[in-house]
Amino acid sequence: MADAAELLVNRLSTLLGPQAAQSAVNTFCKRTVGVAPENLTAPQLKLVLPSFKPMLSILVGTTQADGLLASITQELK
Amino acid sequence: MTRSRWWVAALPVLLCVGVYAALRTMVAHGASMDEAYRVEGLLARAAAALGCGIAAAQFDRGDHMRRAWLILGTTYVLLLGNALVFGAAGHLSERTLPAAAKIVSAVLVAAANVCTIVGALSVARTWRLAGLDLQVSRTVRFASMAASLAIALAIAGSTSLLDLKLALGGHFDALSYLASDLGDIVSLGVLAPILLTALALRGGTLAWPWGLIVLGTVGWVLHDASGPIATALGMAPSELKPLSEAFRWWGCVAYLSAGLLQRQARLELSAPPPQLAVG
Repeated sequence: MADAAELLVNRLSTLLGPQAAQSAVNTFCKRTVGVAPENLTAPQLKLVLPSFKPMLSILVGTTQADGLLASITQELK
Repeated sequence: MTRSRWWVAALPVLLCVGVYAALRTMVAHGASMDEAYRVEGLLARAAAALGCGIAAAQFDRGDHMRRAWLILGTTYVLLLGNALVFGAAGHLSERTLPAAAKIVSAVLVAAANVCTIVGALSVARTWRLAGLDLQVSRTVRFASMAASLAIALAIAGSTSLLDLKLALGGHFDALSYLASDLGDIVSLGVLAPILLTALALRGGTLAWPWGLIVLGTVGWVLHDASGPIATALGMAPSELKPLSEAFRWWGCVAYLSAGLLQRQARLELSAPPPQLAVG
């Protein structure tokens, strides 16, 4: 699932910049499912995505956060 | 998109230069400046209020940053109302008002500065609420916070003490100045976490509005320090007020640019992303 984690970083980078996006993905993957992004499985990734919502809601607003996470979920299918 | 962002980001400095040139020319030609200062002061505050409103509108009801922007915007609405009704007060301009009007004006300015303080603190703690990694050590974070607080006290500390003495001596206008001084100290004091947040977001669209908040604070620092700056540059006393007003434009227009850049970030997020191959 390294490519999926990469896509997640890529999508968040537009908004947060590459370093903050990478750092957020590392942090939330480890905090939510206890694994590094490159070792994420598909079911784990589904668990991780919602954990970004509070951060994104604060930084870009709830509607935008929902939209971004929905579009990432869609792309990962 | 990036090019238009640079233009929007450069607006505060460009308008600062333009306003300074215009006001200085008017002063040099012996124009009556009271009305000119009143109108440009109102326009600058209106620009800041508009910018905060635009930024707040990009968020949803109940969102942290919507609240923060609305509180910051209230600052400028109150200052705009005060300037409209009572005329703008400042260390460089005296007003002839009855004592009751001075008290009401001081209350408005104090309320505006409470909003500045609450708004600045809300913006400054965003990184913590969001769980954003500032990518600096705890030591660097605390050192930068201490440095920004020290700079704030160096710039506005002595003026605050002077205004406190004047206010205690029954000078009602000094209450307005004191409230402004405290607002300045807090908004400068929390510059470090805001700057670190902007730096942490570098390369992303959100770095732009955050950078403009920092740029706005720089404008207010220059506004507060316009006296020493004018002295250091060997300016004539008549050039001080145009300089001070120009820096006010810098500070106010930075919020307008921040609002526009926050809107641009939202619009870009709403656009469909480029296709990436997922394995």
